[in-house]
Amino acid sequence: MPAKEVHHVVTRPGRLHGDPDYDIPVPEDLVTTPGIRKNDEDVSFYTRVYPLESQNIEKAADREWVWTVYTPEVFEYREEHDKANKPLVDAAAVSGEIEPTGTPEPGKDMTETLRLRARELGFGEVGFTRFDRHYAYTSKRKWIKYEHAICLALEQDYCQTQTIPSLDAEYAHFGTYEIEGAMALRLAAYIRELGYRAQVHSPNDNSAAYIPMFVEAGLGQLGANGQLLSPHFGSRARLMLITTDAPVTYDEPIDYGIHEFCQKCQVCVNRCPGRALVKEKVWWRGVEKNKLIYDRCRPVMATYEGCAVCMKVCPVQRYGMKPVMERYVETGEILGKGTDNLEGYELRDKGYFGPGELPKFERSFFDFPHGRKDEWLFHQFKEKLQNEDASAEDVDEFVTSLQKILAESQTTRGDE
Amino acid sequence: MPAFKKEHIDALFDEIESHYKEKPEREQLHRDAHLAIALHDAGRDLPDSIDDRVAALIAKHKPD
Repeated sequence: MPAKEVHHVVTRPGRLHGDPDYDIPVPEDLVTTPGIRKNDEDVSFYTRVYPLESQNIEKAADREWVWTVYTPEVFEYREEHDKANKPLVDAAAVSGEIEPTGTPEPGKDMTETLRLRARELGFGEVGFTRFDRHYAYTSKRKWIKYEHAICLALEQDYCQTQTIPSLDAEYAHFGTYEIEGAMALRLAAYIRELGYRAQVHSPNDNSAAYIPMFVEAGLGQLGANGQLLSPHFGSRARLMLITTDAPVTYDEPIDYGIHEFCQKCQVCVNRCPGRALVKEKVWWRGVEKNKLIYDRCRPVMATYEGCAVCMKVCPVQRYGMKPVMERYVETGEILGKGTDNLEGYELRDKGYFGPGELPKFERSFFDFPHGRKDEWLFHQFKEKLQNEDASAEDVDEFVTSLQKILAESQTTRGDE
Repeated sequence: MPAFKKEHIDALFDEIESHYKEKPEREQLHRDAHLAIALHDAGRDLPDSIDDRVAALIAKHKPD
């Protein structure tokens, strides 16, 4: 007799186009709400008073710093990737200006036509929702043109991802961006052939926080690791959007049982090398979530090939949501929890860490530049003044550096 | 039933890589192997959906 009563079964398309449907049982004790618990008034308040901005701007100081802690191999690969990816990001940036090449069919809803084409191209998850401007970045608000969002997730290579953290896994991470950037441009061209406009929101030049829209489109729920957990590959996917004026019908958010599941599982929280994940959910900008501690995450991520241990050790990523939920229904247990197979990982120069074992870091390991570049420069200069060891040359250098930063254009492009 | 430790897991995947590294079924074998190890560690029988080659490797590399 199963340990848990099944409350509902979620049926989703198979992992690959043409695969049979995929049924996920959601037990009674994991049911919370379709999508995520949120307070719309609070979301609006925070958007109005504390609007979101791209981390590539808000945290530009550490985006520059990471290059100084990369291994030579990662440094070289990032340079190669950025060069290869630039034409795709450039093309996405102007994609919303391109006129349609075809004539629309009056009155036809385009949802399933576009979903089918996206799946044929290879996107693993495809959903439709309103582009929610609450989550738009300030610097991108005027750039965003169309109101309907097509949410697109491309699965990242399975085998390479299981080697996290490693250079091989970074090939999968950044390589997936390059593939999906090209795929989205093709999908946008197809939308124009159908007579509509399409704007590609690059995964490397994000216009907004994308996960809330993926949740609203029913493609997954927010996991304790701060990532979208979708049915087939958990967070082992790269997310991007196309916005369009094509007439579409929005999908609905779904309760996959992930919120309560993550509270019971906690493998990512327990295994995070930097202790950056937090067990308890908090209300953050009007949404109830497990809020990651950025300052504990970023140094580990930068130093150890993108880290992503939280992705690797998630049972939904490793086994898929169906066997994980089936196991929970049957026994009340979390598949893989407590085993070397799911929880073990190696960190370069530190060795292997099995279940219950975590690496140790010096306190200074977590010292890194914060905020925008000008904010960090000012912070450093203030410290010098407080220590009364700022010379006239230091003042000149501060002014010169500040002028240089202010002369640079801010960019939303980067290593999301 | 003792669970797979790192050395057992490494030996099993080394064997998959040595035989199937360039073969199209490699990825599915990796997926099946991870799921099969998890089910073994949980004390469950392997379902028919697990590839026979993976089932054989589980039997070969499982801890005593």
